[in-house]
Amino acid sequence: MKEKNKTYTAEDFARYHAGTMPDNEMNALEKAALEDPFLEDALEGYVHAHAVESDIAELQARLTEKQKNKKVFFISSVAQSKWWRIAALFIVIAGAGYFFYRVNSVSKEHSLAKNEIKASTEKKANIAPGKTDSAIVKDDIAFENQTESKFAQKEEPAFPKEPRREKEIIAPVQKSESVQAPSQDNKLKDGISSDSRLKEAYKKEVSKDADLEVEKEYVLKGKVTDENGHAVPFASITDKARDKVAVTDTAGRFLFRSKDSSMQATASAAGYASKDVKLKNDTPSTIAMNKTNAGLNEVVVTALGKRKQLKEPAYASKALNGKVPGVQITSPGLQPSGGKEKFDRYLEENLTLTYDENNEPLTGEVVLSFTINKKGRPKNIKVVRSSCEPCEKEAINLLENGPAWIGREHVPGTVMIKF
Amino acid sequence: MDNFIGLAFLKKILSTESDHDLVQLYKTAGNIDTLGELYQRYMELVYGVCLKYMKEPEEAKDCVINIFEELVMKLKKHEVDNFKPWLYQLAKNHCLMKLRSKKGRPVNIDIDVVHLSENIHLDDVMEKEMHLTTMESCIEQLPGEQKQAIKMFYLDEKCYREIAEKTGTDINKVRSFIQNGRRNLKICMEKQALQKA
Repeated sequence: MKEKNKTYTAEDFARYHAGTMPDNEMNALEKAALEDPFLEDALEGYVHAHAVESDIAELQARLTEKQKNKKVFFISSVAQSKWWRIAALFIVIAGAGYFFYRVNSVSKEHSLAKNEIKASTEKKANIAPGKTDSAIVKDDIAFENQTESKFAQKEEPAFPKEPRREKEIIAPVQKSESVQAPSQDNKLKDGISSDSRLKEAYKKEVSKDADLEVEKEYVLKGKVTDENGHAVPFASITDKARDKVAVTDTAGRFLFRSKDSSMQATASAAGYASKDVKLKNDTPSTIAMNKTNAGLNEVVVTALGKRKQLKEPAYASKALNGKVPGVQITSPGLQPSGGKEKFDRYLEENLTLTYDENNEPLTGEVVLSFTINKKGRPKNIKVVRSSCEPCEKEAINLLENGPAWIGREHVPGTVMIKF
Repeated sequence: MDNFIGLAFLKKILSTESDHDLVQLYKTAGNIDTLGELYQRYMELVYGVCLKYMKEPEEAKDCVINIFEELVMKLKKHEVDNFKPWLYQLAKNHCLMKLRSKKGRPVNIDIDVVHLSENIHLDDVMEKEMHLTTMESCIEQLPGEQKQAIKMFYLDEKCYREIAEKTGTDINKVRSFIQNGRRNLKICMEKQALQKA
């Protein structure tokens, strides 16, 4: 009982189980264990340990490491004054850096938007419709990269960190795009060679990991497969918290860099149901996607269902000088304010077709006569001639609520609205 | 330089301070080193508990680190008067939760474990001289095997293995004789104390 307050160590437990502890010491340990369930449990647990000494050493090292990492948030009260000064300085620098970076990225986005329009018009000429999208994407990324490197060169001396990190984010997206575009164009050979290039790049990325460990950045990688374990290329993996996207390569692989060792992400690919996953830095995750037919059909249905599609002929009619449907102004005394073009556009945008019982749109002409008041609003609207009785109401409605007219008061004018 | 002196000073405090003081120090100053120092005192025990439940050294090690992380969060929120039993409960809960979250692996807590978690402060009772006579009579009232085991364990100070060898019974049986004997002893002595009062 004299040893009641002795603190037992892992070494004691190991000796106990190894049978190298003297009997009287074992008795004392057993007694102490009976008084202390914590000790009892621990003593029992060490049956499963194989290398106690190295285990404890490893644990101590890991614990110290943890303490070091956490220290950023816990500032020692003794050394407070100095630490605070450093912390404040750091925050000011980081804040200034972030502000500067934001200002630059806003202006970059501006120029990016301009370039997008240019790029899309240029590319439309060369590439068949339907592939324009990927072409634009490709172009955008190329441009983004260009501005990125310019940006990086300019800013490198002052703020080397920000531009570099962004480049890394773009890297995986850009890589897989370079594979995507050629293979869509059926340039198979190209696709294969760029795939091997990609593999090299992938290897390089992985070998870079060692350097990055120092910066406490984690690499989260994995593979996207279908139910049968086949790779799913061009699937996008979205980091929910930071709104970053990575795209899988032809082997279905993807790679993220993150400051966290784990992240919540959503994997999605055309023809598959999107899936929420948790990525961890130490284990490459395999994401098995389930096939769904809805994805592809939906796109087709939506396109046909758009009202704009029905109106397409109206846009075409612009070229035919607004004949079907449109307006014909027969009285020279009255002109719509903003001109005929504007009135045409107003009609295109607001004209609602009238349908018969078979849901077929009705066509015809409605000629209206009217006068204007002081403010230029159409008054005394009357139907002069009509080949589509049900459309008359809509025609009057359009004129009544349309743009104002310019001309002399009380001088009648006529307008023909075609359906 | 004053940093070094400060740290050395802190270290000196930490090694002598009681658990309770360290808990309070951590709560007010929020220094992770304080908590690290405190955790180190019991880390080997925590590792043992983790080993007991996880059975795998690698898993148990992760468990020890995770418990420390949980500790960092929980100690700020909870009022802890007696750190060691609290930590034990935290560690045990953590392990059980972990086992439960592992699908397809049933949690089997054998009866032995349940027995052991009973906390009987028999030593405190035994140390009081006025109780010695009552205890002797109580020991005599124990069933034969329990009486023998208790006598050998407490009076002759033999360890489980020696008792097992001498009596020719299994070591686990010896353990349960002693545990049950202790419980019976406690009940008996409480009864006697009530009668006297």
